[in-house]
Amino acid sequence: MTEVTAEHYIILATTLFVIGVAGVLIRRNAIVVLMCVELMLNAVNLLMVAFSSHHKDSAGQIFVFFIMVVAAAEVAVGLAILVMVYRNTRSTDVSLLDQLKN
Amino acid sequence: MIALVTVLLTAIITLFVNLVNTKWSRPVATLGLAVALGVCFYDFSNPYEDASEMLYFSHASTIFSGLTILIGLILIGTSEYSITYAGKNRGDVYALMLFSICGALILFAYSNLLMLFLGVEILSIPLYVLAGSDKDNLASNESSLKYFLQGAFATGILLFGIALVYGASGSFFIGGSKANNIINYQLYSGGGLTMFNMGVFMMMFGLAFKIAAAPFHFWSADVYEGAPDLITSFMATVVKTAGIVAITIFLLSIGFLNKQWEMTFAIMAGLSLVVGNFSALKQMSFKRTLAYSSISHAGYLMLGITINDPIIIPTLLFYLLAYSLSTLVLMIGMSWVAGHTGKHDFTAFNGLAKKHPILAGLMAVAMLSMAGLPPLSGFFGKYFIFAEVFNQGALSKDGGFWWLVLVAAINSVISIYYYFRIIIAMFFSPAISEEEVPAMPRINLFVLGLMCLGLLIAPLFATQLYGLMFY
Repeated sequence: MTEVTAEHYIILATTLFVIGVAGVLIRRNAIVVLMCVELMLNAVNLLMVAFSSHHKDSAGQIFVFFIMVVAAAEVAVGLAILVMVYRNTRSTDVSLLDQLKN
Repeated sequence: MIALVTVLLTAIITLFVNLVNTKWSRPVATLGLAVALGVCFYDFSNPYEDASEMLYFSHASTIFSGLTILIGLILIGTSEYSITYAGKNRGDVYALMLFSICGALILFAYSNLLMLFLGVEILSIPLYVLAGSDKDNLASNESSLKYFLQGAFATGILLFGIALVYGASGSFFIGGSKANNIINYQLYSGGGLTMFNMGVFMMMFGLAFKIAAAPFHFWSADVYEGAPDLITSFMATVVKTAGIVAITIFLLSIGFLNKQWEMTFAIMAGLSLVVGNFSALKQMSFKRTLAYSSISHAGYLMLGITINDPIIIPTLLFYLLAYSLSTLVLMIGMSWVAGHTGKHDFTAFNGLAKKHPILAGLMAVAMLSMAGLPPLSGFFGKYFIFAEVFNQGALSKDGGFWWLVLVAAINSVISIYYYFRIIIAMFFSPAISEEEVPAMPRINLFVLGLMCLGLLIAPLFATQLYGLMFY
């Protein structure tokens, strides 16, 4: 059995991150976009923990706690904004929102 | 640090005062910011570190904090009418603006990537809410949702960049007194340079997004247009200042590694200038024109960042001061006119000079400063940046970025066209709007007058400014 090294984690985290980015760019439903952003943040968490263990340095794991806190705040704000938009438009489709164009 | 705590406490007190009586929230917030501004002057003695050495309060960071608090003070102080959309919730709007200023103050002082991340988020999350604070207005909703989705996306990219930099270097410290900062590790190990560069690139992506520099500017015109006027002026000034300073601190701290980034920044600066100016040319809405013009101003600031030397800090400060003051005059004036005519088009300003010559005159002065005409600060801001870039170019073998200065100079001539449209509308077009715009309250006019006076006399103090800032 081969050993799991930092490179494996980098590849896994990068894959997750790219899936998240692709989701944000492709999907039109605001809730799905929000979930993809969360996926990006969690990929970063994984990467931070992997590097933290690789460097034998605890700072990376502390950073992860802060990312979790901020992600929670961001989701709270994001869902509130979505509810507000939904009340006015009855939809969560991003492409419906095109009032602001010249 | 004391200023930061003062602003934070003011925000919390404002929230509670709003519960008791909505009318008191503005005086309380204004007073708190005035105290914080005083504290900044008091604090301006010795640089010191705080928060486990993760924040470094240098002279430069104190002065930028002062500028930001001053902007907040002016905006909140004159917001008696521009806040009416918020009804009973106006205290919440003020409190969120103050929280956002806290984020900016952290960004001026960070010396650890954790603080950079927290600063960016504390700056942005209140703004997502603020952009949508006009809850029943669909444009405001849309601007809020767009800003939130794209801002969260940029945050993700910034974070991935930070993780890669951490992976390559094993530290989050970017300098300061810590020996194990990201550069030292690079020097000794020599490995992971590709990963390090990739990380820096992604961090710059996230930060360039915050200041709306091309090619990451797509959100800005829509968000600026849809958000309430008060919030748009806040975003155009405070967020831009904070983002530019954060990028500068980071690039100065990675020092010699920065060489390979100069070209990237030069290209981004050129793109921002061209895209911002040419998109502004064909806009009908004054607010949208200002949004595009703020993209082109990000271009001038990025041009300054290519210099890669601490001398750039006072230059950027002067430019940001001139830009912020003129933007505030224009935005407060526009908010007054648009609040009574209900539209942000150029035609809303037709014949304004006949009815309100003082307001029109002050807005014209701010416009001329934005366009960069000689006796005003806007001209000297651009001139200092161009001169620094030329100096730097003369020292290097390949001539530096003289061609970019040429592009910037041509662009500043082009920008005169759309800046003058508003002056022509105010002074030479007959009034067509049916709605009568009442006279602005004296106290607000007085504040606008002070800012225009500042634009006139700031160049006289430029030398002193260069004398006092240093780390």
